[in-house]
Amino acid sequence: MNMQPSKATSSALMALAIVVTLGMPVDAVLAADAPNPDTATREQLGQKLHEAQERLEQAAQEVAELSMSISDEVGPEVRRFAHQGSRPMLGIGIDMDEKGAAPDGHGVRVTSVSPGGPADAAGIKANDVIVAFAGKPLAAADGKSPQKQLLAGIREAKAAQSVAIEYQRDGKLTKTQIVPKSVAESLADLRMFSMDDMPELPDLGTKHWAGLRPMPFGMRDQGGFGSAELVELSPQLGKYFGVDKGLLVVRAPHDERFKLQDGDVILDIDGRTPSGVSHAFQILSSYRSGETVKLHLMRQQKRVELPVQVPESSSLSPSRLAPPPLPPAPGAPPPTA
Amino acid sequence: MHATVKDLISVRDGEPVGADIAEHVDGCEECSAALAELSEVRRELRRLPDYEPPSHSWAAIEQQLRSPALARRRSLGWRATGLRAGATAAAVGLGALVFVLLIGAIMRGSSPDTGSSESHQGRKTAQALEPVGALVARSQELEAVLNGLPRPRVERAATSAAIDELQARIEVLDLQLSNADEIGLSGPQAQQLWSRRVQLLDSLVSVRYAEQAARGNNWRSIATGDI
Repeated sequence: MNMQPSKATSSALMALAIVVTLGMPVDAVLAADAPNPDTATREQLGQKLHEAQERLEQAAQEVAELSMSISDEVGPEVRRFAHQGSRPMLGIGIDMDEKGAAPDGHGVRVTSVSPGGPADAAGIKANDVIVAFAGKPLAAADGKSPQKQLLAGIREAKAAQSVAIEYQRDGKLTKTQIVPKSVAESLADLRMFSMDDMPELPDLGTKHWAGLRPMPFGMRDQGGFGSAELVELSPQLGKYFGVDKGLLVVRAPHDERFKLQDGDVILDIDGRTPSGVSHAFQILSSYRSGETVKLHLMRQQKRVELPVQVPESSSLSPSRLAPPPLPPAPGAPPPTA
Repeated sequence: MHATVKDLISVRDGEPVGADIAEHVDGCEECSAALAELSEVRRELRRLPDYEPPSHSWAAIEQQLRSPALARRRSLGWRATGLRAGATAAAVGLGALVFVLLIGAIMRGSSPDTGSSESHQGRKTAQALEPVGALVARSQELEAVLNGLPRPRVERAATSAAIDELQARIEVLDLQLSNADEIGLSGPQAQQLWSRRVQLLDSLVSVRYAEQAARGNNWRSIATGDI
């Protein structure tokens, strides 16, 4: 599917971007001309800046989503991988021709690294040369190129089990571990998109995305749970809240119907433990408006169950709800959560 | 309370809005004037000539932000007038940067309909002819930018989800590109995937920049080029 947007849509977004982006400096410039601001003025300026930053974040996100929805295709051959669910992947791109091998034939040059993927997490960057994988040097031998040997090595690896990898960058050798991801997990992430014609994927068992409904575009709840600011608890931080993991609510959603408060720790959502901020959003987005979901929290070191009726997201708008609290005073240290 | 810009744009484009908003806009002089202004902006935008932003627009801006003269000016301004001037510099710099990133993403991602299928087809052909080598180079530049943008610990839920979605899409493109031989990917198909990858990376950079702006006061370092 490759939908072309209307000119009106593009223009509307351009106008939105202009208003959002130009609105911010104008406020700041006006405030900058004011002589010796008192604390109240500073707070006002801080508030305006925060609001502008929030609008900017929303606008960038909306543009990205529009960009994705305009062209839903993810490639002509992706469905071939749907039946190879356990196949491991590293999240790198390599050239299969001679450009993809190191000049001396020892190693494979990385052309691209998937942001957020296993190779990215292992610190690998584009143009690094992988010289060994799973303890085996990658050099042309027996008519097999280093690239083919690497691909064979990846296929022999197991998803979620770390593998030794060695790479060179600017002549310096680095040895580290990489944890391959399964193709099924990657495609399951993709199911969150509007892939109506996607074939059924293998059962993901306890995989964290299992059981979620695909989320169509336009379901972004900017004023609802989407406006919440959260941080994953580290074990050290968790001690203060009496838990070892969870999502700390740094700033509660604008919509009070979610009943969340600053300082709450989300433990699970209807029994599903969110693996991260994005996952919590995806879980909540999988409920239809009007459905009741039970949020299990730690609030003031006590376990609390909150039944929340999922609001009608389209009726929410950040500006129609209470404004966000003031940002930290100028000069205050950044959040340490 | 007055209607938001988003609401007004929805009203202007005939998209559904709450009855209370529509009623308010009808009766409010200020909102009606803002609506008329937005309609005029759209008319003006439609009159603009077709324009393809330079492929390295972000790099040029980043270079300008990194220029010693600009950094010094911002640094002096910050020290001289404290928060107000610093906030201004950051806001102006970041606003301009994200503005261009957003517009670039819109223009590249959407290929807006100019009313001429011939010119649209011409642009598509031109895009298809962009060599894979150039797309790979742009892709690597964008990855380098992303590597310089650490994820903040505190995340806005909707933004975090959008970033994950963009990354998942890129990952699936990479899965195909790195197994091109096995799945019999043709040259033009690979070229198309690389082009799509660059578009998604472009969007990801925009969202990550904006995220940096909104989280943890890191916008200061973005504005001064210390990223």
